[in-house]
Amino acid sequence: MNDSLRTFLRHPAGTVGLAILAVVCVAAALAPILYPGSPWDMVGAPLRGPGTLGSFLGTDTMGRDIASGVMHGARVSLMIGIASTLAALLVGVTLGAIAGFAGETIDLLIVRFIEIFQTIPNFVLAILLVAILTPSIWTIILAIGLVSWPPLARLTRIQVKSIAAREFVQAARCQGQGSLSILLRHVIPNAISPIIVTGSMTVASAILIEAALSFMGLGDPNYMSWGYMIGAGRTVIRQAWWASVFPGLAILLTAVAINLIGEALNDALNPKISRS
Amino acid sequence: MTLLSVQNLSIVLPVGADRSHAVSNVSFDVDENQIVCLVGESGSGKSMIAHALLGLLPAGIEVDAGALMFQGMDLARLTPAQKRAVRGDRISMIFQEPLTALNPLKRVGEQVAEAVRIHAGPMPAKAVVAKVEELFEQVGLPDPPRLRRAYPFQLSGGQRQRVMIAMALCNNPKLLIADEPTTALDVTTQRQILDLIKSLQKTHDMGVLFITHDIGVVADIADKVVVLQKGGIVESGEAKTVLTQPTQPYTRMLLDAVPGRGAFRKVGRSTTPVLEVRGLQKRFVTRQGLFAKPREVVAARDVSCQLAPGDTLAVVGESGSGKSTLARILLRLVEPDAGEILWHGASVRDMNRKDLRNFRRKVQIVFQDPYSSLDPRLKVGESICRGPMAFGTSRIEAKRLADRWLERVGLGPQAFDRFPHEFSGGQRQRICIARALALQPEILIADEAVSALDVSIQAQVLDLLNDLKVEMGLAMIFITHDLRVAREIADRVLVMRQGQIEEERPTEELFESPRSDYTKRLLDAVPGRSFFAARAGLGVPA
Repeated sequence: MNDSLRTFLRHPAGTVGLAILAVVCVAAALAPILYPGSPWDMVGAPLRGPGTLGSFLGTDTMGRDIASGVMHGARVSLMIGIASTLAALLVGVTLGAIAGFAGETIDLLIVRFIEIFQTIPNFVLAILLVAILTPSIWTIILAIGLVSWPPLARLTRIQVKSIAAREFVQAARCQGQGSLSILLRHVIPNAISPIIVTGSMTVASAILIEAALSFMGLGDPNYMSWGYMIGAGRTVIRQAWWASVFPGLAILLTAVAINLIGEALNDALNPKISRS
Repeated sequence: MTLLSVQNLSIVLPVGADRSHAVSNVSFDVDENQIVCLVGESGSGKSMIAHALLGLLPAGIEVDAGALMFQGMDLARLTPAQKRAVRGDRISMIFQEPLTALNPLKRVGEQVAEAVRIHAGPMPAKAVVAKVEELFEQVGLPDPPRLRRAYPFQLSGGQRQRVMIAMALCNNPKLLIADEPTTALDVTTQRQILDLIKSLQKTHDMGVLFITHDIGVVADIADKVVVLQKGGIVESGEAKTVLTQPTQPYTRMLLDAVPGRGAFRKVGRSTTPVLEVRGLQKRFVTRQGLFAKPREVVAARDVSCQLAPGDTLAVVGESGSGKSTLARILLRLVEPDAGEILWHGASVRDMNRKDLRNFRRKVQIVFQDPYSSLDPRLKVGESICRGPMAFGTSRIEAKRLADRWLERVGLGPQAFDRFPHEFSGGQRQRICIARALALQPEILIADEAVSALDVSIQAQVLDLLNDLKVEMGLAMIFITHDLRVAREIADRVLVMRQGQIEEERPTEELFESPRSDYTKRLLDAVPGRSFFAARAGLGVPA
């Protein structure tokens, strides 16, 4: 574990990603202290530029503080990104691992089940789910989780299949280890690194889906999110670029940071790289 | 006349490698119409020399001193364009692994045609086809017009290597470099390819630089031999002189490491068998598509055999003979179609999960490929511990056991905390043996356990297995394509061909008076057989 940690910390992409993500997390944590009021409150005249008195990043069409919105939005975006990815991983990895490791019939059934989800366009399904279930932070997480698991399941399945055919797995079977123990201790650890990398990409794409949902007015009305801010600022983008650029930058940086971390994790989890 | 003259060649390795130079101060000549063998273990730098000749050294590794004189030019100092003109034209190369050296998505005929076109310039399509078919004819491929249109995966290993040779020959090279061209092939195919290279060398008046780790192969084909160790020349000269009167201990060691020369093993009297197989049947059927006819491969046809306690049975056959499948069926990693497997009289096929676990504990296996048979993410000590722990040994006790076994196979307890990639092939195979034996099995199945190793390492692992066998009273099933290895270790030999048993007899009988033609052919294929027979006859200590 120490070797993995050391490689991760020595990895330039990993450290940069971690630093950016740390900034985002700090922003999320400090939001209620720096901006104790609700991000929905009016703080001044509408459409004031960045740097003007009292509003560091300017105000939007309703006179709401952009800086406050970006910081409060960080909490929602991060939470939705991470929670929905965890949900997707839980479903995807479990189903994928079972499909790859169990016999042909179960594999066939699970693959067909995955295909049902894959034939429906992701975003349309997410809109549909949120619209039916009424928008709230939990239904959004559920909807994003539900549309994000199929690629993870397919990846896990094929990884598990290829690892399970290797001789060390047969050797473990000959050592008398049980099927579940072989799956958990030998197959999954060897299959996991591309899954983690894809998982980190899923966090980024979950944040983007949430932004898109909010942009379409399907966000949780109680929480300010980056996507909502871009949606609200888009009509005035030529007069007040700051209303959509700053939340947009926040999404971009977070997505890049998470992808960089995923890349570094991939190297860190490989003992061939981490021990050389 | 000298064709290639390697003069004081040094190849520098990047900083941080296990030594500063891959080879240093190496000099030798290859004459026209001569086969020169470079012999050495893995890591001796023999392949680096071959790659330097064609300018194929990997990034960061380069020739830093010496000259590679070929027809008046120094190969180490050519421009990229000059290098391309020489490669595949006047000098060509064949590689160890014919499957990866061919493009899997292109018909083999086209790949050879490409090599023809690059150097001969524009040619009418018909002429190219005629040339390719003529080359296929020369290298002994059956039915050239048909095979020309085959894809690499449709050919056998030997046929693929013949295609590679055809490609190498297409521009009548002056020098052919062969980098372990037969190591990945089984014994009979190796024999055919060696004969082919030898006869082509004569008909084409080529110089051949042949790289191998097997001194038996050297004895068969070399005119001159260069023995390399850790990047330096140990001994070189006429093959006859070096092989019959080696002056260096290292050369002698290589000669002595060749398996299958000592006295035959004594055959014990028969007792009740630990393991008995009756009428085993297995067919693999692969569907190739919805409407295509399924392909059928017979892996076992009515296979029956017995294994007595403390006995070693070698299962010998070419690739595809069903010998590895037999091992997997015995452990029920593959389910047979019909037949019985009896372990102390109890049917293995009828065992429930619990009994099967106990059976597998007593019957352990060591696989061929030491690279894929250890979990790359697990410390090797951990891999060994897992087995005893699965049967209720405590962690502390299991660790002590693992340390003891690592010590016993010659690695020492400090190996416990290292990962598989930090070990060499031979060391990994020792770890696999430790992993298998830590469970105190009754039977050890070794599936080509030494085939991927250099001859000298092979000898060490075989010695280790022999010692352990006596120490623990193990019965062993030893699967191999190499009769030399079988002779070294087995009490009885079972020869398999296309899923059927050709003959099964005590080792000495089989070697002295083989009954089936197939066995005779296998015996004739053993590299360096006549040389070693002569050597033993002269009373050279074995």
